[in-house]
Amino acid sequence: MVEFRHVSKSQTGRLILKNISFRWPNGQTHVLLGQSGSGKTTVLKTLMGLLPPDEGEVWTCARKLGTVPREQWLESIGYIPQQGGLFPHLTARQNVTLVAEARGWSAQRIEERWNELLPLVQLKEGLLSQYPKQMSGGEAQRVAIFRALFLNPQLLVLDEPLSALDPIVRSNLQTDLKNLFNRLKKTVIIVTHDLAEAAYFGHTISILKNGELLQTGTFEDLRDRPAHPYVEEFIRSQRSIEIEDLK
Amino acid sequence: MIWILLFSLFSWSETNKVVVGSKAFTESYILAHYAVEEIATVPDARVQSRLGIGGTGLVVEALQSGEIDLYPEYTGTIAQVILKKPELVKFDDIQSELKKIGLQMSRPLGFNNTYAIALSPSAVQKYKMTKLSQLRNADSLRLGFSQEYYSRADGYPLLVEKLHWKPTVPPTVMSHELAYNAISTEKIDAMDVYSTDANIDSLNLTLLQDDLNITPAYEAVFLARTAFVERCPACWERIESLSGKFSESQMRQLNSNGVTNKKETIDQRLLRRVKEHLVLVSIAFCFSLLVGVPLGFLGFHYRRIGHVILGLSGLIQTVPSLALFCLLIPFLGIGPIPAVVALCLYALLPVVAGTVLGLRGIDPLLFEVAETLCLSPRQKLIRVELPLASLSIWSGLKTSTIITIGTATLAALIGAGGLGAPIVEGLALNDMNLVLLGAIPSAGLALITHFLFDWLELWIVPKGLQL
Repeated sequence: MVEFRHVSKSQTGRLILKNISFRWPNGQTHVLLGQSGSGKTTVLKTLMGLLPPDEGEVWTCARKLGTVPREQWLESIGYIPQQGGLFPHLTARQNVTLVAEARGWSAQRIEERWNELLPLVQLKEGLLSQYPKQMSGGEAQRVAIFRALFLNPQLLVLDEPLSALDPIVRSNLQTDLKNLFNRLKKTVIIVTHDLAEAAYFGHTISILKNGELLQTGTFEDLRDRPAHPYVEEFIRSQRSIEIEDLK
Repeated sequence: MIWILLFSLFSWSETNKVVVGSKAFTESYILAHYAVEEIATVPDARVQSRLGIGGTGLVVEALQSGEIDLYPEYTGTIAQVILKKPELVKFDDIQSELKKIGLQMSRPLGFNNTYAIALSPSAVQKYKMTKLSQLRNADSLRLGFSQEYYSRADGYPLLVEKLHWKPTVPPTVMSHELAYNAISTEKIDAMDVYSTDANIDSLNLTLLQDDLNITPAYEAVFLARTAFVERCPACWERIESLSGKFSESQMRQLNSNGVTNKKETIDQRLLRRVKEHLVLVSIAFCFSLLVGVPLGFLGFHYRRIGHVILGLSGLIQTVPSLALFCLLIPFLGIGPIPAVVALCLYALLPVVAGTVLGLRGIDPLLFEVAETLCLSPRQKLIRVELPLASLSIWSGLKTSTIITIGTATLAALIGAGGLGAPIVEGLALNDMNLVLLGAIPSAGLALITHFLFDWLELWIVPKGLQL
């Protein structure tokens, strides 16, 4: 369970999260949908504990943010930032295993985990010794997902994971990601501004505007029973054949 | 490696020895060499020389602080510049004033290196002059004077005053070298010279005799610390034995021969200078690496401290290097130590700035990722910040080292040796070969360093950043 209880946050005098509350069940994929500046990335950062809330409570896995050590909290979250956020000075493999090495895992344990995950993320062998600058956007994203999964977190957090990719790569990765999520049964939170992507991934979708949560529900809920004029407008403006097809 | 460097630095500054100093011109070098040779005959005396210190103020500072024990000086300079009592002319008066400040001078060496007016051979024939007083009768004489002589109180103004004379054609002010050129091509008839200038003989010039005792005497002597005289009376005895041994014409001859160190071949000398230079540069490099890089990190993580650090190191950079060397002398004396301190301070800015810029250039997302991966501060430093900033840090180190190689040549002016020593000496002796002996290797060193840094970059900067 991922839960926000009346969370507010302001930065440089401006309220960027206004009394946000939601409860998302485990094992599902949830999408935070909104235009840029709507506060979706702030929700992610608050969830990870990078930006502590001014008011309200954040809960994951039956633990309240601030009551467990930071390291424990973050260990249960795998973060995949926009465009991967790989360290340019490390190879794919070094990027993936860095976090385990930093925690003092034995080489054998790292190797075992590596072999366990490698087939899931579908990375080409040759890519593993390459540096981020030598990878395509899609490849970098796969490496980033590999890295995020390495400590076996309960929660996966993806910030606009596909927005910078070209359509074909994007579509392939979308399919692979969805399969992966289904297989791993992890709780996944995806931030995006793309309605089609939201509809494709999300068991539930939450629409944010100016730091306010307007509506949470399935895609059909949002489409057929919009709770706010903005929700209706948002869906109308992005509706295309694609969405119908995907569903 | 640092220990070896520090050791070699301190081995320079042991106490049980006699150090002969000199100023940065030929005659001073020559007289200092004579002193060295004399003291070398004293049993148990370990004599060293620290030649070519750039200016009266510096060399006196060095003498009083004990960096050197004695050096050649002139009575006129002692009275006017050191004691600031131009009215003192008698030897004993000057000596007793000197003793009040813990210094003393040897008996005169025998020649008077004062300002004199030199006439070209044709002017001598034309005007039939041999004495200064006769200047009054030669109104049409074309005079070429150096700026120094023209404006110094004991120069041209004194001459005009004492002679009650004003030439109808005012003197042309020109550099000394130009004046020699002008008098040899008969563009001027007379110029000011030092009475022991080597050119007087080679150009066959005639010095006007100071029949009115106008010009103050500049008797050559050795100036020493009284403490040194008491510590090694035998040494002082040898120095005193030089009194009366030099005439003006002898000195002119010596000046025209220049000074050469017979004991060392050019190769040995070059090698020694390169070594000294490398020691200076290496210490500054180690300092900028071990202090500059941490300061850069501090400055990046604590913005206010960063402003202070960058501001201060920038401020140091704006102080001209020679001025910084001089500013340090009251605290650290002369020699390698103030030179090293100054070079270290100069080396700092490029490295600090390179480190701060390198860290600022890191994508903030990567800091965020490092945070979500829960790296400890140490892991963050070693695995993320240092490698990502390495390119900028390394180029800061490169800039700093190359600047240091250049700046270190100035260290010779405060007696720190290095490749600047032949340059300073060469400039003083007007010996272009000697200047090149210092200039070419230091330029070569800078070039080699440039390529060495580029080559090492392939290893030091992570491969992923070089793509």
